[in-house]
Amino acid sequence: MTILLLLLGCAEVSQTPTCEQYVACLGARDEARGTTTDMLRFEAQGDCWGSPAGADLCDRSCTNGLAWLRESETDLPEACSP
Amino acid sequence: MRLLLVLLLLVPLAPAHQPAEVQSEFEVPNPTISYAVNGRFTSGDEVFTLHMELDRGFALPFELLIEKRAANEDHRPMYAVVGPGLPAPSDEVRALLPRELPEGVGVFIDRNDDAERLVIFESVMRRYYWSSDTTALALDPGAHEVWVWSPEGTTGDFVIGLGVEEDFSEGTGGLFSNWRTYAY
Repeated sequence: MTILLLLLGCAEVSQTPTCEQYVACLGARDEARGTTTDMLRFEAQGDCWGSPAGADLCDRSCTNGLAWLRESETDLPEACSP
Repeated sequence: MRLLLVLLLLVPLAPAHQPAEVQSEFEVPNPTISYAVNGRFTSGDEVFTLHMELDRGFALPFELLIEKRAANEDHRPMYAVVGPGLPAPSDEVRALLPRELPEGVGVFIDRNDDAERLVIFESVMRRYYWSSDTTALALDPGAHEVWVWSPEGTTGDFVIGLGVEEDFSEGTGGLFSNWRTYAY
């Protein structure tokens, strides 16, 4: 069991498709608004992907963050569409 | 033992945030690192306020945690993020807020009222929590506030988590000197 838990702790994680879309959406939104948003943590090399626990938190963040953007903003770019 | 292993595999784990404590107001020292800010409703009519100044646009996740135990089953505080660039509230959302919204700012509100509550295991306090679930907000630069309140006037503890980047170089916010208050 110890070995299994160690393996779980060392499991490789990478940027999830939802966060990939969240980053693309915010990038396109920034371009349309003329703004800049620091979203490094969600990007492929970001801090989100250092552990399974962090990756799970970030994936849920991106899922709900995208849902919130779609619900609250009517003029989002195509990159934000489902 | 096998049951424990299965549970560990099924329950999401929460990463470690910099712990801190809010009595009434709390100034987030550095919004670009992650915090878990602990507080306690003793009368049920408190509105806890976190202040944070963003020097740039920043995509920041927020999550409200309530310790998972029978005494807290009805304890479901809400939180709101208030700041520039967020949408103006509908009348329905405005009616939920615990205080009037200042001029020129908008709001995100998490009602924390999902019928099925997400359960996570938090590895610093080593407790199971109900989570409001995490939402990333793309915030504009400027002054923001997080309000936490108990719409039903329930009492009990809460943790408001924000951010991703772990950084304990600034210490543990004095939380561990008050460990027994929040952990056991």
